[in-house]
Amino acid sequence: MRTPASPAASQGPGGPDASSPHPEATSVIELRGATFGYGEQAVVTDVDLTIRAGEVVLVLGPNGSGKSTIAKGLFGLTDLLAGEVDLFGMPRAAFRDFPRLGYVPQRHTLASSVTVTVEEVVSSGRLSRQSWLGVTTRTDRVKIARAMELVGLAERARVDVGALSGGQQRRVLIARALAGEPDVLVMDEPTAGVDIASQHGLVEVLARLVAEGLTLVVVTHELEAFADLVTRVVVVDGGRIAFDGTPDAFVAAGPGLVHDHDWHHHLESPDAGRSVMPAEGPLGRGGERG
Amino acid sequence: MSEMLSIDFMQRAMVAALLVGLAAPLVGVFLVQRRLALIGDGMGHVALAGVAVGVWSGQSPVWTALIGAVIAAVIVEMIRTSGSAHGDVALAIIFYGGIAASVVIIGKSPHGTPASLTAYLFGAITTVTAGDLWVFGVLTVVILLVVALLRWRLFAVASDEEYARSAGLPVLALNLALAILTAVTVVVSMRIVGLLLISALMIVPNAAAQLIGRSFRASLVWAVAIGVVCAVGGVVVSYAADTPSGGTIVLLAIGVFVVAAVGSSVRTRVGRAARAGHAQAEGHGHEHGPGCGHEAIRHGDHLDYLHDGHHHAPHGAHYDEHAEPAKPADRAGR
Repeated sequence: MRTPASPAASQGPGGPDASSPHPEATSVIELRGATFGYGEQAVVTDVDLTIRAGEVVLVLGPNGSGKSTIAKGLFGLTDLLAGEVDLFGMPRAAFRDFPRLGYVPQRHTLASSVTVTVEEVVSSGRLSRQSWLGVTTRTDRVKIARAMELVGLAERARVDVGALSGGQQRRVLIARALAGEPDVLVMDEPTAGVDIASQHGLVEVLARLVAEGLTLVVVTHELEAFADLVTRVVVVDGGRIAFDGTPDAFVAAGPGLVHDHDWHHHLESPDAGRSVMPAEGPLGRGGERG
Repeated sequence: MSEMLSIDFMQRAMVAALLVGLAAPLVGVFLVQRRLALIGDGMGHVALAGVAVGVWSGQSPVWTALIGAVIAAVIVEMIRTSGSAHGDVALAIIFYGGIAASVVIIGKSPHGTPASLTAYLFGAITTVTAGDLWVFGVLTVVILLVVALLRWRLFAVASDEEYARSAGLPVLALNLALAILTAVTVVVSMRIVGLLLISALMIVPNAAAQLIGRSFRASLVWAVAIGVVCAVGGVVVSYAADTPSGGTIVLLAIGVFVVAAVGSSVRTRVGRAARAGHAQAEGHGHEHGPGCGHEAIRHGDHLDYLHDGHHHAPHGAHYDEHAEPAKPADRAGR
């Protein structure tokens, strides 16, 4: 039996009883019959999804399946056309505790027309916890420094973000979300366009955060990178949820889960089954980075 | 100099220049960040219609310009927010409508001819009244206070609007605040810099400062310093050389930009030449080799390992940073 209070303990191999990894933990995100889209145009329909504290949920699916639309819908960035969204037990429209739900948007570059340091970007993630008088307190500074430290960018605090590599820029965006001290972190394609070595670095950082109690929702089409962490897989296809279960069940379901077979070609490769299994070792594996 | 400072209108012109030099770059940096460098120009067009209404009705043109510019700011922001495909054309219609209306209204005015708009368009040091100065002073204080209070929120919205929304920041209100700040800055500048040139003083000092400062904060300090020096300096030169103040101020600012650009380019070349000799990868604890997890790329006579976006080449007991080899396609294109 898993121990919801300690997310680290949930990283063992998924047993056959693990249909719901954290059945008794509080739900942090709850979607009931939710339809998201833009204006009148629905992109994903009738989504039922409950995410509980301590889970690491991968939202997989081919490009254009609507997985990002769901993630954005949690933040009101896409329109809720039908159904309900509850965040921390409260309807989204009434939810005001914004810092608890961190967001790492899909961005390919942080380069802009002005010079901005890593520290300045990360500090903007603290704004939702600050008063309108805009005073940066000692606590704020500590949290901002800690966020940069967590992603391994403390020494680059004063570097122009435009001069960083793609992988480092993703880590800046993660640190920005972490500066607000979220309980849940929703990440949209954090590994897209990042080389394998940097992906390992990212996952290492995330493993550390999950061990500290963070709930993680990762929208991605690259599941290998997160194989060591994931406790649950949700597959979105054609605007609907096509699968929701443990990584084991996902592997067992095999190809044919979605209409577009190309996106999970890795499942058909000989070592694919192994790659989506939760790690047997302690957290923080995959530390082969230099 | 002392003779110049003893003249009443010059004293007023210097104070007005100081106010514009402070305010314009402070607001302009967020426009640069959002790639809206030309929006101030459009608001100047609409403010000119306000000036014409003031001249025609015998009211203070500063107040009528302020009303015109603020209304334009709100409409412009609403059009922008709507994301309409025709937004660009709608903005053009508003801006050109403003300038067309101003010429027609002034032509029908009992006190003015289109020629009397010249001072408002390009700035003139002799035109600042004591009453204007009070209005500019109060408006500048408001601009400074609002920017001081909202700067990191304006920064967050300008750098990543989607993220700002996800974090619960009032994005629409902040965008409106920036639009109104822009309108107010346009009006503060109308005597000294002129409504056709104010946009330059919002943008050019920031463009120069981006080449000098190493952070958003430092660049902003540089931009304000450049703005103040160019505005006050421009008024002095304008008096001494008998040139229109707006044009003189903007040419000075562009001069500073060119100097900063040349300096920055030289600095980059010198730095690159120094690094090209031999640059070691910092704090490299990892040993690259076959199967180390990093992609190996042939680079001339050796292999570079692609490490977190950097090209690391083994050299004795350490690794060198190598530049990314030119892609064959790049070479073929030349």
